[in-house]
Amino acid sequence: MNKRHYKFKPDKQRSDHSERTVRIIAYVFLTVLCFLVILPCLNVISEAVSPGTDVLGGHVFFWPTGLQFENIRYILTGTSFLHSMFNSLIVTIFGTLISVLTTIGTAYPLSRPDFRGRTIITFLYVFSMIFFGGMIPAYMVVKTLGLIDTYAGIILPFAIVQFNMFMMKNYFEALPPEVIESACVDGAGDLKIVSSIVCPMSKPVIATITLLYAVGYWNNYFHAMLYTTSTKMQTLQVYLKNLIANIQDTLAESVGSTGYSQNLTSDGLTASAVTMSIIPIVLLYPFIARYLVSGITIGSVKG
Amino acid sequence: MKKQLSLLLAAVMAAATLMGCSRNTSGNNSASTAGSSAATESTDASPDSSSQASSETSTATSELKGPGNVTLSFLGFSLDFDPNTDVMAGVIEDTTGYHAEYSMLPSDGADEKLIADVAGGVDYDILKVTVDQFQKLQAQGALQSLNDLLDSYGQDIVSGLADENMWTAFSDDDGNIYGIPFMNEYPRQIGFITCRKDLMEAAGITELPTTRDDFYNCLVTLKNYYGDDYIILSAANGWDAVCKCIAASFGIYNDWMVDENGQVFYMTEHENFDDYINFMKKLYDEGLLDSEFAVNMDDTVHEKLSSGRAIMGGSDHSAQIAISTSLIDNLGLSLDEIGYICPLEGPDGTCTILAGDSVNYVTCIPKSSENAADVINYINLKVQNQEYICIGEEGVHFEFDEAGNYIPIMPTFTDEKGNAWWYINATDTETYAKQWLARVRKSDYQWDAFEKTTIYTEENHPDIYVDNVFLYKPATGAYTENNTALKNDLFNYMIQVIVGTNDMDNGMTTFQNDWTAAGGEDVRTDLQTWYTGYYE
Repeated sequence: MNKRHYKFKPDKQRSDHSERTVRIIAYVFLTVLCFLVILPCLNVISEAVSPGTDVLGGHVFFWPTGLQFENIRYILTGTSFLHSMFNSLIVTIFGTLISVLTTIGTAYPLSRPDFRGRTIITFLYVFSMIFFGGMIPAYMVVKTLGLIDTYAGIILPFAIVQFNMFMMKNYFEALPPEVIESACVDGAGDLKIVSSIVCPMSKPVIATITLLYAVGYWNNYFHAMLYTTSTKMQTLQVYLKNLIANIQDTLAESVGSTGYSQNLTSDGLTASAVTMSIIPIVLLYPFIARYLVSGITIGSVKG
Repeated sequence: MKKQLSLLLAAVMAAATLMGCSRNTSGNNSASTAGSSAATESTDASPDSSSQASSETSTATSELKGPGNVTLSFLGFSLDFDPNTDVMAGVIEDTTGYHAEYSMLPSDGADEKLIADVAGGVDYDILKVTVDQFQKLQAQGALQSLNDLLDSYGQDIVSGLADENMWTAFSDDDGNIYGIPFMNEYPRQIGFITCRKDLMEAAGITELPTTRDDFYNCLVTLKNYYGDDYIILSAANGWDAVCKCIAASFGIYNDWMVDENGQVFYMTEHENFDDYINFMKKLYDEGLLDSEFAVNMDDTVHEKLSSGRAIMGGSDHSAQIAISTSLIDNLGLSLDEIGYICPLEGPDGTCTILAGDSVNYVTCIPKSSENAADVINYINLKVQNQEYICIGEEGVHFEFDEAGNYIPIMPTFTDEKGNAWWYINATDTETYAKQWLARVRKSDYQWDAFEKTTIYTEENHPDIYVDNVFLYKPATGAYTENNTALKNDLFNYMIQVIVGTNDMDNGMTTFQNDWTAAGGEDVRTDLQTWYTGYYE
């Protein structure tokens, strides 16, 4: 035994050694990666609160060179930032709610083998996933329905994302059929089964879908831009894009005005708006991070 | 329970559908009918129907409803403010009597949005768009002809445009006018090279160069003195202020030019084109020109000047505010230590520069608008009250100096008139050129640069300006379709040769072939035909 033990000891030592080496490399790699992610964020935050002359002079890197909040004040009081943020929150909250409900409502019947027309309806979803009618026809549908420049116009056209629906359908199909059958035997209707049995059993996929929809609505730029016309309906992403594009003109025109300050710079204002726009996501992220990680593979393998 | 729930759900969904479908988006009483008619009309907005449409719409002069009886829907370009809540919205409503609801195109994807809105029949009455966007809309036959309306309600608009020939640029071959130009406020303003006189003086340069040879010697002196401590000359890729100031000394001022015999020719065919490119290449190879020239944007160059990393760089009076502010506040320079180099002279005295791009924006009326007469009346009223709308009231927003110049009273002027230019559709061009200078005088730094470049050049070297002979060309033909792409290809080719990734001799053959394939000869023919017909 001793001999055998002695024989294996160098291997174990070698194994420990190589494991430690891999671990060190992994730590170094991940630390570098962390810095790569964090440093740009630090730079943006530093530019938001550093004095304008330092920002303009290119002296701000990863730590503020001083403290001033005039850029942030200007963004909050001199632009439509807060209103755009409000619009984005409305669209994201109600859009996600509507999308999750309609996705569940579509995925459940399509996951039932006894649902008549299942094949053709599924085909229609796949077809519309691959082929799109085009921007102008889609626009005209939205316009004809009277949804231009409304919250509904930014939400309803995207109420169901086919990919998410199929992910949920696959998950529902993987649930044990005996549970649903026994509920049927006990006299439960479809609504009861979905609300009391299927949804509680599908919390992981619902959480993932909710997250995907929420991120999609929050980040949606193109359709929010296309289907709104007035500034009062502008979402945060449209606001940010416009702010960044026009900031030089805005600053040039505001020279000498009451709110003008030497601390107002294009980079500083952009950094301030970007910093504040990520606050809701940063606050929410700790609560949803685990679903982001687990959500990618959910529904991809049918059990 | 199940049935009750189902009924409730069905009722809620039906109600939601009805509410969605009956939504009135414009706030206009006629919105629903206008919307449906617009949707129908949008099917006519195709190139095939454009000629038919133009003749039909020219007679479809809507009746004047009058101020207070109609709400006008105005779509403008993107800017960082809310035009509905800005003080100017109230000023214009009080002045004209018309209530207008303002919308903006996005800064990114503006063309797609505009086309979707117009094709989808969104109920706009006024579109204030760029020349390119106007040309696209006109090509699609999406606009109303304005001739009768201008005759009836737009006398001040017509008389305000000093250059009557400008109307041809916004008309079709039959003379139907589709757009009202908002002219460049000051067509003779020029770009220039900003330079750090403190560093130049330390290197022994006491005079700003005015000729190409002096300029080159100045750059060499700076390079010898400072080595790689500073970027000697920063410029943006393509055709920025630096390129224009240098090309002026070679007699090159535009992508398309006309020789003394009336023959249209391209920049690459200019007798001095090779010399110009070789000169730029020499600057690059000797380390005098920014090594990041190929990827620099205008903003990057301004940043390099502001941060003190560049001794010289391309600029304009508007950008100069931030640059001078930084140099003075951050690096401790005085205003006198900031210099401006105007377009350079060649050894034989050659110096040519294009007299500014002359149209800022174009106002047009989509076919779906039922308020065209009121739109023209509204714009006409704004032209009549131009001084009050654009720069305000004497003693409140501005005052006159001894020479009769408009001097802004700060901060009231900027607070209340800062965004006035967004609302302007047309101007009395001659008076507006004087009024607009009040905007330049808002900042001493801006005025300093403007006075020492544009006004100096205008007063001392008026002969260097070359008028844009193609300014009046209507938005038709190969020029409209292909020239933007050709111009981009040209600038890319020039950059490649300057930085050495392409060879002048061999690369030119390839460029010429590509240029011809991309419609270069078609554009030449189009321009030549129009030029010959218009001027001879």
